[in-house]
Amino acid sequence: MAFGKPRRRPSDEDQRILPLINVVFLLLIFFMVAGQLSKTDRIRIDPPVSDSKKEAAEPPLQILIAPDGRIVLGGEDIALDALSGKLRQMSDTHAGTVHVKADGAVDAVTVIGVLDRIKAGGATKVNLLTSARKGP
Amino acid sequence: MRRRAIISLTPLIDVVFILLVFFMLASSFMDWRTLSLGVARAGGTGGMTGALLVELRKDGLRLSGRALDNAALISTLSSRFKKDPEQRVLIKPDQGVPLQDAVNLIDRIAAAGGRDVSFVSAPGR
Repeated sequence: MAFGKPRRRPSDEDQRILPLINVVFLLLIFFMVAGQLSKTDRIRIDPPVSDSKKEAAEPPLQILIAPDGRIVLGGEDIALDALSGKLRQMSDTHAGTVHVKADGAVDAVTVIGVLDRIKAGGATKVNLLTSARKGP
Repeated sequence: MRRRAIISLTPLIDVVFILLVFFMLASSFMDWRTLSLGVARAGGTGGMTGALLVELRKDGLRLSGRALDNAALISTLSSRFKKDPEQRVLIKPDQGVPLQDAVNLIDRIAAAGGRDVSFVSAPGR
């Protein structure tokens, strides 16, 4: 037993925390490898869940729809009526593919209105981002 | 006696801990999926003929104007999809229906065998 020792040598102390460092390093590597660093959105969005099997690729252009119906394009609020004009200007960036990240609680009619404007803005492929259903 | 470590371990652990906390907070484990969506315009040209219209109301579902429940809708649709796999289905959600309900409906139709599902927007909107 080590209780009786009057003084501990530094290397002894080091030996004691080595397992801790091992674990912390492993956790660090796990989070670095398994998680993905992504830019956080300006608004909090809780996407709808779906059974879709298609995984999301990095979108060239993303439009956010907040729970209160606000539309955000490239970090800025945009009015519904200005959307198609703006998309037509940005046709080089989106190259016809636009991702829509809408909150699950938002009115479906609002989303359809936005989809309609996106189509009018020249996008040929519109994808709705959802999260995978949890559990079996 | 062992040679003492040149780098003391305590500052190293400090840094590693800070990195760990950073990666824990900054990384996201969200599993993103996509749904391809089309929008047809009611009263517009093309694409509407021969399509089945499913109305998603707050008080229930309607298929071509006839009220029916979930199971009946799915069985009707799957028999239609057996005859014609390319059968187009249009979903028209009512005002006030949350997106999640519409996505659930799309999932169920896709599970029944529907390949061509799109939303339909009312003409005035």
